[in-house]
Amino acid sequence: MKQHHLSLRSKDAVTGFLFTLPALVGLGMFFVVPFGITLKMSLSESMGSSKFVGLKNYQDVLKSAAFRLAAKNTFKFFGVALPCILILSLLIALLLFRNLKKYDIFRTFFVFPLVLPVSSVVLFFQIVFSDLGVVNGVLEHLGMHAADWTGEQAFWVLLILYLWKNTGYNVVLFLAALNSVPPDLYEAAALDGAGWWKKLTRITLPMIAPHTRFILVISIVNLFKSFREAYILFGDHPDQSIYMIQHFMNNNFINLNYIRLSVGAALVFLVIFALVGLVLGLRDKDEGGHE
Amino acid sequence: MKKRILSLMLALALLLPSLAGCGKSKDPAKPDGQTGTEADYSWFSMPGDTGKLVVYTSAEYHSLFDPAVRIFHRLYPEIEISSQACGEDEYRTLLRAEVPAGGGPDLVLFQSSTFPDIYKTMQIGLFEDLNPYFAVDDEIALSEFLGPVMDGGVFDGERLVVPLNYDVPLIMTTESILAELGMSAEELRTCDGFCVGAERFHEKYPDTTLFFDMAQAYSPYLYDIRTLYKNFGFQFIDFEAGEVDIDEGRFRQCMDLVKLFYNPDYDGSDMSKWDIYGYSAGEGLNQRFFMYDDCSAIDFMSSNNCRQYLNFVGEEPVFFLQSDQHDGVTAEMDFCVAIPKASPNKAAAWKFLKILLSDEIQGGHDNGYGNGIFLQIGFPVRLSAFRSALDYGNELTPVGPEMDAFTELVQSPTQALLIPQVYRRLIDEHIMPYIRGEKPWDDCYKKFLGAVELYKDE
Amino acid sequence: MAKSKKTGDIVTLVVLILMSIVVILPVLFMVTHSFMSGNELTASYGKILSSSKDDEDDTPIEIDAHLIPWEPSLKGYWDVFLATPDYLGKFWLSLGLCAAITAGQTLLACLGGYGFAKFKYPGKNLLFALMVLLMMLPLQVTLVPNYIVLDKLSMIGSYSAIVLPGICSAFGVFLLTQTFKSIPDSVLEAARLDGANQFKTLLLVVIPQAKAGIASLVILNFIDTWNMVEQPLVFLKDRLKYPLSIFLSQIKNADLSRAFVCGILAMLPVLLLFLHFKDALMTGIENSALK
Repeated sequence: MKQHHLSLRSKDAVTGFLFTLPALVGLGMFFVVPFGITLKMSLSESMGSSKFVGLKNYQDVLKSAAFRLAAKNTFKFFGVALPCILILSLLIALLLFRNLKKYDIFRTFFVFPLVLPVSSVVLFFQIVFSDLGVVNGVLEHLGMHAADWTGEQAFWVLLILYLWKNTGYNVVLFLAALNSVPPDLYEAAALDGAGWWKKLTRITLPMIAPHTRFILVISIVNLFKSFREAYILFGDHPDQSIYMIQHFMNNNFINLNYIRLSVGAALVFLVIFALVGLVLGLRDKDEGGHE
Repeated sequence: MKKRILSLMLALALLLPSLAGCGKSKDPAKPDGQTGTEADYSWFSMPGDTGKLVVYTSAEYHSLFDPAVRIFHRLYPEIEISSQACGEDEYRTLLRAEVPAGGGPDLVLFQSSTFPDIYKTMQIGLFEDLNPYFAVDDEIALSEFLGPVMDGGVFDGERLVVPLNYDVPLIMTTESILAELGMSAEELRTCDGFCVGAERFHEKYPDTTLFFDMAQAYSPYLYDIRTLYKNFGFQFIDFEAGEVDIDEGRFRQCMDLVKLFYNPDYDGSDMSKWDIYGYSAGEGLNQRFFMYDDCSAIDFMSSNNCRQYLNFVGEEPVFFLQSDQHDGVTAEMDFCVAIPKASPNKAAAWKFLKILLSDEIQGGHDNGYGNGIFLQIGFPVRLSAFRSALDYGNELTPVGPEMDAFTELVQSPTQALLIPQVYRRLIDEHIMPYIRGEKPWDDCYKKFLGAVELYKDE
Repeated sequence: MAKSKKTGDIVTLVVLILMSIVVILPVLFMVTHSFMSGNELTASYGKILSSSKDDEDDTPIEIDAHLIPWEPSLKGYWDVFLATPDYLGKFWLSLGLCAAITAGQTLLACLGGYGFAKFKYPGKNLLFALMVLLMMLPLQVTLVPNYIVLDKLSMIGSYSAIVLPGICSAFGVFLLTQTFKSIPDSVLEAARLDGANQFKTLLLVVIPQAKAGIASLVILNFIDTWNMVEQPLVFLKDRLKYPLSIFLSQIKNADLSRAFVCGILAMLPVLLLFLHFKDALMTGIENSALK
């Protein structure tokens, strides 16, 4: 990685802290404090009394079959969606990277889905994937069975929606990453007679690894956002295959059960904390090697 | 540095379930549900006046709220009332965010569309127990209201929700139809009897729907399923006990009835099929077993359509309420009111609630829309307001002994529920294959039960 | 060799074109449908779209999806623009709110990003990880505690209740930290040797080099704030103060022609902004490619 030792003077520590201070104060006020309130609620007896009950609520939620199903499905969705979007957007980026100038227009196209508001996206997907929708019409035309896209197949609809909406932006990020790879590395490899695959696995992927981690985090953030579409499309109680943590939280939210919502949030937080910690932790090791 | 955080997190993650295990204590002792016996509320003193009241209203509630606000102004000019008008979605979102945060209105008016499941909402301790208020306040007594319906808002002995009106599964038929079925009205007044009657009717008129309702002529399946499972009085989940509560035999009986009348080819847009006057086809006249109006029993009584039909047939109607699974009658609560525990102006909120329960509001009033009844759906919970609510602005309501009998009938529910919409979706999803005859009952019911369990656990 | 490259190019082009169609179709769909009359829309999609909300009477009737309007109509636009007098006012109000939030967040993110990317101080990584996590908290979780905090600060009902939390979002800091990190320290050091102080370095050296990241931030942040519904509803509590997004979100599927037009209107400013910043979004790529 780049040379970080230049900024290691001790006076800089204070300066650096001061630079981050405004952001930290703001975050503290509007995110950390609210999250603290959430944690406190998750340890309270009920909405009406703030009596401390320890981890009783956590015990309840962890025992709940609904929460377990939601957790299982969410992991499953993460497990499928994240590799999918990373591979897909990397592939497209590699294609575009062959001739950036010529393919400029496509880059613009791919970012278009970000621009559409949620309600419009939902409108479109309803028309395409409902029982009587376009996809089923085409399937029947081809002599195939219409599928229940809001039922058992909803998982795939959700996946397509997520990929459709977020791949474009990831492509832009990957393109930037690919550009950061010094061209002379490829030239040297070409001289050694390395093929396309070797270049990809030996040069490109290792070189863009830090960018990939960043894109991964962005993809996770967007994944959480895509659940919003999920419950507009499929309702509060969708098919059990796509009942996710977000449904669990949202349903508790609409019935005013903030206690359970808080517990759910705290548990999710803990898990992501572990995941993100892992990702960021790996990166620190990388950097450490260069210091 | 990083490693330390990571191991800390892992330790936490590991610790959590075990800690949760440690906390395994039995349910905190709840105050014994005051079942029937008078509880002692002498400890309770009314909250003090603060001179303020905050209420929200949305389009659904205007015809009820606006007059109540006017009366409140007149009775308590010293209390400053701030009422905020919201859109429908807005109303819900505001309540969902503000009430848990301890803000929001001092008095929450809602229907099942506001909080999808009031039993889940009651469970969490956000609302004030109003039993002491009723006990301490001399101006109002629970005995002035229809007990079984009022008790629909009691959870674990606490009166958290007060229903303002209710609806009953009122059914109208005629003596000639009963004769055709070979049954007396009395025989139809049990759960089993009703099912037998319906089956016999289906044998005679296989193409006809079970119920008739003007507003719901399009899809008989949806109509039957919605009213039937409510009429059978399934609560599905007993939240007080925290367990799923379905009598499988009864539930199957109910679904079999839906299955019997399920007709995917029924075309509701074919007017001749649901022409109850029989103007177009004389012989179609008797093809209506039960008439039933889901949206308004009051309207039903006074409805021109039904009267005209009966005049045409030349018969007097026979009324009865469909029995629920316990051979009682399950009413459905409609508008409900609750006072949040966190409200700073509980005294004023209670005053407002008393207005909503007063003869003046419950008995019907000029709501400014040219329609005298605020309770356009169902019947008032206030006993003394019943007659005037029915009379108000209706020329066609029955009079005399017929009216007395009718009053007695619709005031006879044995319990009241507010069943969330979600069960209909679950039935649609899991029992539908059975109704269509695609899958055996056991498979479908197992799935349905699983889904209800899941819903309970949420 | 040359030939295989040529076929490769053609395959690439075909793949890219196909993908573009998939990506562009919904956008095109929204645009053409906004010119359809209400009757045409109801005739074509009424069965899916109007029944999806209340799950009632869904008698199977074919739907008729098509892209070209049978008889183009501007009625939808007329209804939304001219029949709704306060539309323009809301539009400017929304734009103002978005501009304030976006500007504020960009500023905060530049400072914070610089601090996080180019300095080291004890606990920095922990703070950064925390920030990334807070970014992922779903809206349902933060809504209630945020209300409590804003209420304590007596901000409920004023625009600051929307603007301040909007500014203090973690996403911007995260994004710019990542962007700034890819700027070589040697460039910074050169600026410092020239006698520039930290602010000057940030302003004159770092920010110009991070155009792509800042453009992304501006666009993504604008999309989020432009489409926010729950926060203004709950925190402003005054119809007169509501931004356009609430107004747009309240138009239901029942009124299809308006729903499509509103989709376009919600999309338009974002689209314009996107086209405006498109070049900046890509500059990072070209810049380094030229080197």
